[in-house]
Amino acid sequence: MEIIKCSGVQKVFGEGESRVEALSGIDFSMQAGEFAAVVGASGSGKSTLLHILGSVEKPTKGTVIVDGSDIGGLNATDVAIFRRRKVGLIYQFYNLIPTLTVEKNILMPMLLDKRKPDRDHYENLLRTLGIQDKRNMLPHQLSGGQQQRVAIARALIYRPAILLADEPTGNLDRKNSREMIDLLKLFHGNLKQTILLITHDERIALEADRIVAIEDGKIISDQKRR
Amino acid sequence: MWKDYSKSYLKNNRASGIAIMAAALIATLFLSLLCSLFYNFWIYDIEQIKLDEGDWQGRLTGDLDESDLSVIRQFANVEKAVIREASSGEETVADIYFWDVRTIYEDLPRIAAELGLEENAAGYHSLLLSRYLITDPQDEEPPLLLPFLAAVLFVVSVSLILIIRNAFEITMNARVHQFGIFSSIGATPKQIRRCLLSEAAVLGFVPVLLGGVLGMGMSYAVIETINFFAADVAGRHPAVFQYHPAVFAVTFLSAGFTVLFSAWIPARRLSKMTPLEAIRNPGDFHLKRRKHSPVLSGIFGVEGELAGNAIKAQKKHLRISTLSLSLSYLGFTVMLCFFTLSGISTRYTYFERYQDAWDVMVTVKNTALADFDRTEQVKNISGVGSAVLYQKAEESVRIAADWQSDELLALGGLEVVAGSGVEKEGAYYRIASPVVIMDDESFLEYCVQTGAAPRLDGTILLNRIWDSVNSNFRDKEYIPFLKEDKKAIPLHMDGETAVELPVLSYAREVPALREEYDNYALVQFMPLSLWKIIAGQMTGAEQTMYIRLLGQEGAGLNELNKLEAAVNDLLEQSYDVESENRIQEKISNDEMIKGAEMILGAFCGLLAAIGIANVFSNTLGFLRQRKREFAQYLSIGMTPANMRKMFAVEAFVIAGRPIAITLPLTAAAVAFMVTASHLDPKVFFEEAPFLPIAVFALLIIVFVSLAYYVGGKRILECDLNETLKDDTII
Repeated sequence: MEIIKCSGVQKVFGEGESRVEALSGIDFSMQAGEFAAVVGASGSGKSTLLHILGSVEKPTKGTVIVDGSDIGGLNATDVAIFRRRKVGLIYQFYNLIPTLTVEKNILMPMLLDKRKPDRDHYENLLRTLGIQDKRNMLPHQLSGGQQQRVAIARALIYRPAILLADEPTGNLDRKNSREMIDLLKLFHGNLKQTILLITHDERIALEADRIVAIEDGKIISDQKRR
Repeated sequence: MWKDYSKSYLKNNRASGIAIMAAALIATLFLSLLCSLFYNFWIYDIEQIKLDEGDWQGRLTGDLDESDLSVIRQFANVEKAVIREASSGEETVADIYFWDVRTIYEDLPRIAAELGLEENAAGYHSLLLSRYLITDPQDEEPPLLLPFLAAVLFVVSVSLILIIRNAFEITMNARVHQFGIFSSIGATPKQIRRCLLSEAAVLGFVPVLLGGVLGMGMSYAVIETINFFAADVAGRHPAVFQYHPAVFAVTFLSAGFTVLFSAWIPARRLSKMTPLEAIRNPGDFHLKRRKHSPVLSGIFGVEGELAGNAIKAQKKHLRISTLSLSLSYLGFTVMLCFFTLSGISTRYTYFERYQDAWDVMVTVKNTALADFDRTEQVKNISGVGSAVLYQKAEESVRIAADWQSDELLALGGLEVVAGSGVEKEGAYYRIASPVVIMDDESFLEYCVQTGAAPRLDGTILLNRIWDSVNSNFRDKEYIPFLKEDKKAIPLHMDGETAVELPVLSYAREVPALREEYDNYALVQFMPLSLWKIIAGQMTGAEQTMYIRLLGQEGAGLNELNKLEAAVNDLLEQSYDVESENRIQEKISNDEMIKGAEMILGAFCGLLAAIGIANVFSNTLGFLRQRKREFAQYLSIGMTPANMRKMFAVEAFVIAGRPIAITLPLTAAAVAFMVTASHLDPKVFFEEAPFLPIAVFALLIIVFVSLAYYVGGKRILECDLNETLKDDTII
């Protein structure tokens, strides 16, 4: 089942002399349960693609369909609800709310929807991620690796259609990076979670089933490894 | 969830919450104080006008009777119509009050026409009407004092409101990042907006309510303070504190609306950003385009250049502190200069001019000098050096054009010198001729003073007119009014000569009375004996007489108080009297000025405190941004000493700007006031309030420097590595 389909996606930043074309008419799709990595040099457009798929950035041109929804046609409220329910986003710099506890941070997408969290799923996530004893702490009381685990838990709490990870290991040491990738693989294997990982580290990309290479806003290769 | 978030945010960011609450409290307090004071002063002014001149709105003069009043009352907009008094001859004055006074300038002429009266039969209480902002549409120069004051109030209110806005701006700027995270995980714009508005309502409700009530209380205190200082001022009625629901509504609604609006603005800004832009928003100050600070970089080197750019980048955020600092400093300096000028002017025109003219003045109401029977007893009161009893009458004379003095004719005659102050009737002029009727003994003394034969059967003409062509009102020069060749002067009544009076003397000097004489009138002094003979033919006599007393040489406050008490004891049983004491009045006047200076000084001081508080909140509120900025400088090898220098330059510019803006404006305002009041600039400079102005400027510099010292210290104490990689905002 095709979970993502982009057609002719273009993204332009700035105007006049400062105009930069980050994406130049990209066509891209992903099947449900796939684990893909997008690689490319800095400024190649890989993060822009991920942000467009996560609906935190709007394309200048083209259509983006995620889990059957054309996100280009949604208004501000609907796109927010879409993000809440369909997309899990992980950033390099965690982006946790510093004044809320770990538990509140993780449950936030459910709370925004005024829905009762699935406690089993929540506990399971905490256990899998090894942060059961951190639930009442504030983000700044955690290490970088622990903060990133909280971010993963938050991204997965709603069982999103797709998990988008933007350089999730970029701010971590080697050990924590390894653990992070193992965790992503675990969620992919156990939950059949669709994952799109952005990285400039080829060794990490090799952990994925599919590697898409981007250069100057264009897909230059798309290889299935398994 | 949002409640938890807001609670924990406020708990972890107490300074932001306190800054907003303090801003809301201070701004509402001042807003409430200003609006309440303005309302009370306005009401007081109206009450004073009504007491002095009556509460009538429109007036018709003519041959009116009860049937005419019935016609007037039939007009839908007429509330009531009453006969005020029967004036001279057959004319009657009817005072008319309207339901909707705004249409008075259309309704009254219609009523006059209905009654068959001339257009000029309608009169308007224009002073009272102007207080309701109702002006004659035909008037090319309507009174602008009230609109001016209202405009000032509006501007100050807006600047106060901006303080609340600024407090929110500072806090919200730091939160865009957090709301970006919320947005990225699915918070809708509506949810974010609701969270911000609820937070603002919670933070603002108590301070706005408290500020409003405190402002009201302070306004009450100010009114009572003014009553206390002005208790002895003659002719003033005590102010009674009043409060109107509209004042409450203006204060609370504008402050409350601002609180909510201030929260709505960042919500709107957020809705225009993608979540990614919001997350990436570092809150750093950016220059939109390349700027150069040649003066600062020239003087202070690279630190000056960096400080200049930082100030330019913070321009929007520092605008309010600059505005309130400038406003407070401007208000303070202009107020001090105004009071200095006013003090000099009062001294010159009043206390010094009348220094030897009076010690105690007694006004005996509803009494003609001819009916007063205690002249001898007054003159014999112990401690009286000199006593003059007098009454005034407004009469007119008709003089031939060729009777003007040669000096007056050389200047172009009365039309040139007096303009519309005189009325020409063919080859004659009709001129106001105030008559001062003196007790006989005092008149005889005045005869001796002017060199005239001491007689009681004639008048002494004050033969002088202000040479308005060659002198200003401050240093008036006089020229003779008339040729001194005529032995008698005709007094006119109803266009005809009523009586011709012998002229005993054409005098240049005036008797020692506390009187200001019209510039273009021909003043006469006559003895009571003569007035008694002609009084039956004259109608202009006032129904009030005056007693001017001088104490013994060198009499002080105690002596004058005793004298005042003695004369009151003598008269108050039989007459309706009011008395004033020159030294006491000067003390009261000084106290009033001191009181006003104190109130306005406190107000300016508080405005300065608000400005300084803004600088503090800017400096400390943007700590995170500045931390990163300075950490970046540190990382490229800038030393703490360099950074301290940069801070010093910033503080110097921020404190210096309001001073640099204010001083030329004050100089211009003072130049204007000195010119308008025709004072010698040297006299002003000798008494100019340089010291308090310099002290205030110094205080601004000290407090701004202190704010930078505190902020700078905290920034310099931060850990370089942590700051550069820090991504969380606590």
